[in-house]
Amino acid sequence: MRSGLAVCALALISTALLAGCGGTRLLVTATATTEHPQASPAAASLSSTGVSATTRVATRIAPIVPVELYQPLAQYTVYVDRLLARLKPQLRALRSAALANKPSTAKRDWLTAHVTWLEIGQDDNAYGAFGELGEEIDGPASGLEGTISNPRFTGFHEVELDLWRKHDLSAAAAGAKRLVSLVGELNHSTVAADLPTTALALDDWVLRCHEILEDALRDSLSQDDDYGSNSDLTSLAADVTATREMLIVLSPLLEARVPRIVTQGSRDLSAVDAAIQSAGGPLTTRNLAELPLRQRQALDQATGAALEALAPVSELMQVSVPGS
Amino acid sequence: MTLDRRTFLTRAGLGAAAAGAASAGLLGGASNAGAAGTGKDQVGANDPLLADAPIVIPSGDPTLATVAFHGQHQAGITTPKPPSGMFASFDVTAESRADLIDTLKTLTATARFLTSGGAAQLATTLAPPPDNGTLGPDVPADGLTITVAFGSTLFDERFGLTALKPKHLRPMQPFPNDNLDPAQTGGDVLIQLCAGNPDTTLHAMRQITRVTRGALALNWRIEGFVPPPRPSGVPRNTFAFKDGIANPNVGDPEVANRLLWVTDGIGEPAWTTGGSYHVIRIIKQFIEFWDRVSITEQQQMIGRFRASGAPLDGTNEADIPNYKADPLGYVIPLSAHIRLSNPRTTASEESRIFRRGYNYDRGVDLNDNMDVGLVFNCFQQDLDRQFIANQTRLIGEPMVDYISPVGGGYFFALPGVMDQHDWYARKLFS
Repeated sequence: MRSGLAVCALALISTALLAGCGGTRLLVTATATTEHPQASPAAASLSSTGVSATTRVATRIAPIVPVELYQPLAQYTVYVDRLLARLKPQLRALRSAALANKPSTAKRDWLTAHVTWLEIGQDDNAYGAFGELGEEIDGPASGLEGTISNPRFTGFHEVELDLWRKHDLSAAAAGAKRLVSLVGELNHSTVAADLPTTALALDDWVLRCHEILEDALRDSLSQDDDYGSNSDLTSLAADVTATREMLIVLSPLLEARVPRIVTQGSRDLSAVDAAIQSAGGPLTTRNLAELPLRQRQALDQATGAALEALAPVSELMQVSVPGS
Repeated sequence: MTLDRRTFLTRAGLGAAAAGAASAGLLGGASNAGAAGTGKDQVGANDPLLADAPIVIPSGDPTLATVAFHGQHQAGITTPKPPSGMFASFDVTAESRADLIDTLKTLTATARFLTSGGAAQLATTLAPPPDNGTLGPDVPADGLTITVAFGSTLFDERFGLTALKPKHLRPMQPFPNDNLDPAQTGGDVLIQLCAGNPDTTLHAMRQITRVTRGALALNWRIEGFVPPPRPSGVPRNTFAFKDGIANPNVGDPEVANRLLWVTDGIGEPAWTTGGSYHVIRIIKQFIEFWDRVSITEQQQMIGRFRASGAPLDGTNEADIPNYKADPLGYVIPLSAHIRLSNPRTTASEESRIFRRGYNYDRGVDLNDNMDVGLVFNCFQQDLDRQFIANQTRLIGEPMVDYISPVGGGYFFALPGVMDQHDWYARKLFS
């Protein structure tokens, strides 16, 4: 997560075509600022990336000014609003199924609702975008004293634990009721309030283009945030969807600067989708540790490759405040 | 299982006479005759396909000098940090107080020998060799330090020690970003081994587990290393940043008595004087993720330049950041790691900790990421006033996305073993 000043120099971008084992891959090194206090940005931009580039082009890339991000943000707000509208009835269905003592329906409803939530890009309250509320909706137990027995462990993961491990439908119904009310607090104004207005917050927002998928690699593909549902493939698929949305809304800005990032990023995200399909599809609940090795490796490698492709986005999209 | 004192002494090698003549004739006589050994089909010595490659002996001797074992404080805290470290947590399975005391006496004798070096205990005709032999027939001290600490669980009802627990000692509770794995968290006894080379720490570890078999069950263990300076100054962590630049000057006894050692008159049980609270945190660092983050962002998260180690308002690693001149964090963000952890105010002074960390590198995770990180390791006079206050300030820092504390624990490093007659924690039992 970034927390710092916007960089307001012209970004000098060197692009390099790399011949990697998976085929030719684009590597972009943005060096708007310098690692060494004495070196000038221009000097730093010419420093080697430490990889064997077959071709290298130095291009002058226009910086982003805040107004350019308004349209992508507006598009993204519409996307989030649409998902929240979809989520609310899904959670009510989950509660009804739990109340009716239908465990398999309740599990399916939980998965459906959780996917919707993840497609917002807020797995485990990533970025704390919705603050305490986000933590209550989808926070993990690991950081709480007593972990799963801590009363502050609530939301999706608590219901997951009740459904899959404790087989306690009435507890699941109570948890789902609380979820309905927590998500009810997320309306257009809270979403809008969450959306960035300052240059600093805009920089944080563009980070989601790679951080949502970083979280998937770190938390889902490691099985670190599973509480019984074995829904890591589902989570990964939802995170790919959320990442693709970020890439779509930013693509006009990216196309104008380093168009290959969009093509490479989209191609790599599709490769993750394909790996998910090979492993049984996004709705397959499987323990990743028990997947055939080749399938698990394909998931990990496709995700890692997509992340390498998307890594330059945040630097390219860093906001420059005019006059500063 | 219980072990009587004699068993322990024998295992520790104290009761056994060295059987000096044993090894050379039996082990040293292997010749080039080959497995068949008949000699009839032996090819000439100048046949190139049968000749052995010349033996290349690395030049220079990296073995370090002896670090004194006896003293008011244990070695391995303020003594120089050598490149190899090993941290092992044990649970006590000895059932009686007397067995626990015997275990500690055995451990003391073993540690005294290992840290001093000397002739390895060789085989007798009746038993396997007491020394595992991995350091050769003459065990070098190699700067080995053995630092023993107790966890709060040792002070439960088993050994009648409840009333003597160091007052701040307790199990490590998770901070919000932690993901503590019970299989590598806590323990009754923590042993820190540091030396010039990893074979020295592993040799010591094998000797220690052997002589305490039946009384100390190994819980978890992690090995660490300190890289050489790249290119100079404080070594780098796996995020490539120089780590450990700002440490209190505990070489000054006044500083050490305020920040590092438990002293008389601060409300701790009398036996703890000369000891120190020992915190270990196994912190996984998501290096794949980190390597995909721009240098600007990395530096803003840490508050230092990656290349030089200088604070973002300075030019050299030893420069002191001037936060007063930058109250809004324009140069060093208010959320930068170095600023949160050590705000350098009068109020934060007394919360300083003495760090002695090691990098670790141990395998591959389920998601194909490497399991690499930091054995965060620090000592302090007061767990709450220092480590916990520090870590509380760091809650929610931007760097939390790139790290995951997965284990470790809170321990109390015992006072030093004073002389030949003293043993670990003697005053606790007197």
